Amino acid sequence: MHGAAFFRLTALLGTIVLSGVGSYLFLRFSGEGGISALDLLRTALIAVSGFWLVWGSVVAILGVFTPVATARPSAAPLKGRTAVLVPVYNEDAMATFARIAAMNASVIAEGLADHFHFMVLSDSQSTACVAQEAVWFERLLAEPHSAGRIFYRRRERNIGRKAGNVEDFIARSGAAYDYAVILDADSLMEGATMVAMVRRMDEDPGLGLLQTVPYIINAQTLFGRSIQFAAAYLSPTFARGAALMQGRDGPYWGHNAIVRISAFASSCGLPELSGAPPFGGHILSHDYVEAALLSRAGWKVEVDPCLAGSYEEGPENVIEYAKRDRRWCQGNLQHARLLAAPGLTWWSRFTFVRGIMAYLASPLWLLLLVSSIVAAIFPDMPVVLSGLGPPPVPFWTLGLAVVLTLVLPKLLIVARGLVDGRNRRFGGTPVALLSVLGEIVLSTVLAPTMLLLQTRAVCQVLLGIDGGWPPTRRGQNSVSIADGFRASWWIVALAMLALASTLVFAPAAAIWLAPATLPAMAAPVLIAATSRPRRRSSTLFQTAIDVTPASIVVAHATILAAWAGPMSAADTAAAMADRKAPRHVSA
Amino acid sequence: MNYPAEFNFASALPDAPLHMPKQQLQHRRSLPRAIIDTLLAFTGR
Repeated sequence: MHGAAFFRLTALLGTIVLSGVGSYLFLRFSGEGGISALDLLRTALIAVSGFWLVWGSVVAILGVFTPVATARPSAAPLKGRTAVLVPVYNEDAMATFARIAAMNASVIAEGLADHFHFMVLSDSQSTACVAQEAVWFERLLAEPHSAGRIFYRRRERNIGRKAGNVEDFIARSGAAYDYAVILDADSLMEGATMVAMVRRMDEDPGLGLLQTVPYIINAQTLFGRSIQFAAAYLSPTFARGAALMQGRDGPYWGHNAIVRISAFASSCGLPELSGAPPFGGHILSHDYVEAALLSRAGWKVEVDPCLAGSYEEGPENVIEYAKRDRRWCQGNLQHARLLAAPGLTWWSRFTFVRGIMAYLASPLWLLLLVSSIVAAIFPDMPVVLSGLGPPPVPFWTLGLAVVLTLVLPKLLIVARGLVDGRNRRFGGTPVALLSVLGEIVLSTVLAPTMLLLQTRAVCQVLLGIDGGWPPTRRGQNSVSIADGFRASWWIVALAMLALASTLVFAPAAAIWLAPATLPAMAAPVLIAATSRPRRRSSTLFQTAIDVTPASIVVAHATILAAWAGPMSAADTAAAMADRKAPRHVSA
Repeated sequence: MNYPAEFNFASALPDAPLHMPKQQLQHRRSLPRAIIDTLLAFTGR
């Protein structure tokens, strides 16, 4: 715990110093002839937004210099019984149940099948999806060693959404198990990984939750593959840095984690918050709150970046990403209601603030851009404070510092990969560097679009427009330019307005604003272009899984192919048309 | 693949209930507020 406190303090002081220096330099540059109220506003925006930018970089740099912990092999017999929970909500039943079949086979191969049961917890509301679940669950039960170990339950009313779904399971069946591995419908986890997680829980009676760092798989588009690469190559370093600071208060991301059921049941019953959504009602982003409640009750919550064999799928285009981000935005901003919740640790409260600022940062950056345009158009604002004299360094150093903040951690990760040989798993150092540069270019080009989409999400939440949980359309890939325009015409309009106003009133400002306005004006084309499928053999964004697919991923693909033919899902649904509804349906 | 006429789920969840109490996340109302609300209840509001 003292180690965690040291790293927390180091990261905090480092961030305060670096962002403070940057803000001070900005004030010196912008207020050289006298400081106006607008200069003070812009400096404050730089200070607040820059703090979180620098914080991320500091965490990553800590991770670069942290040794990778070696896995602790153990052959100790398992003590606990584990329920593997798969909550589903209007998902592709064939693909989801094929994942369960693959994971079940993987657990059986470990020789520990009796310690693991699988639970399909359906909240599906679509009658077509429910019918498909009935079809493919029966197919799942036909797999070896499935009967008596794989269970299905559907709730007719999805009260409390996913958190309520898990709570319903615990209320009905929690006493039969020691642990629960909580997955998403698109999660995959090696049997060996689940066994390792159970052993960690067996060996540490104070451990309430253990979170893995899942790799993204099956990405097909340029956008999806860039996220997949970042998750595989960059995220583990960020996670190592974050793990240094976690102490007993690690994160929980809602899936690909194991919980101690008795701890979860006694500590994590989520109430409805007073008032109406989006700030009242059911807690949307329940995972952060559950982690905080476990910490409050004295349980350890840990993330372990060394636990391999944990996978999930990611959004394949900007629109699906934005839809997911919309509900995460609402969930995180709702946490503002919990900042003063009784008994939480200070690190839990800081985690809530971090999540809130991850979304508030976008409108703050936008406000900074707008105020800078105003400052350029109206350069002779009234002075409120005398200037601080000529800045001690040239202006370009501030720009360089911003670039370094964003880019240096990623380049350090490449350098470390060269030293410890990790780059070989990503095609070698030149290919890894190319992929990192590609990820930087792509994220920079998409940044104005993402900033405006997030700002809109924040405005919708603050105006009380409840976004709820629009279902994720897994496997949604290509977006046409027409659809891209429908989703982003307002971004194009805003960018054109910004560019036009600067060209007319402050032409010099139009140049430094161009990196924001030009990509935003191209938003429909960028959204469409990045949603095109890429060849798996493409060098860019190559990951270790491209070269050597994980066995669980291969198993899932094999089972899916076997199930998909000779009888298609549509044919099986037709065959089921006159069947009775499943008996295990609860209200 | 053959499907039986009776589609029978033999795989209901195990019956092993476990209590999961709701946690307190908001501060309880203050004593003055509680007193006022109690008095208002007697006025029919």
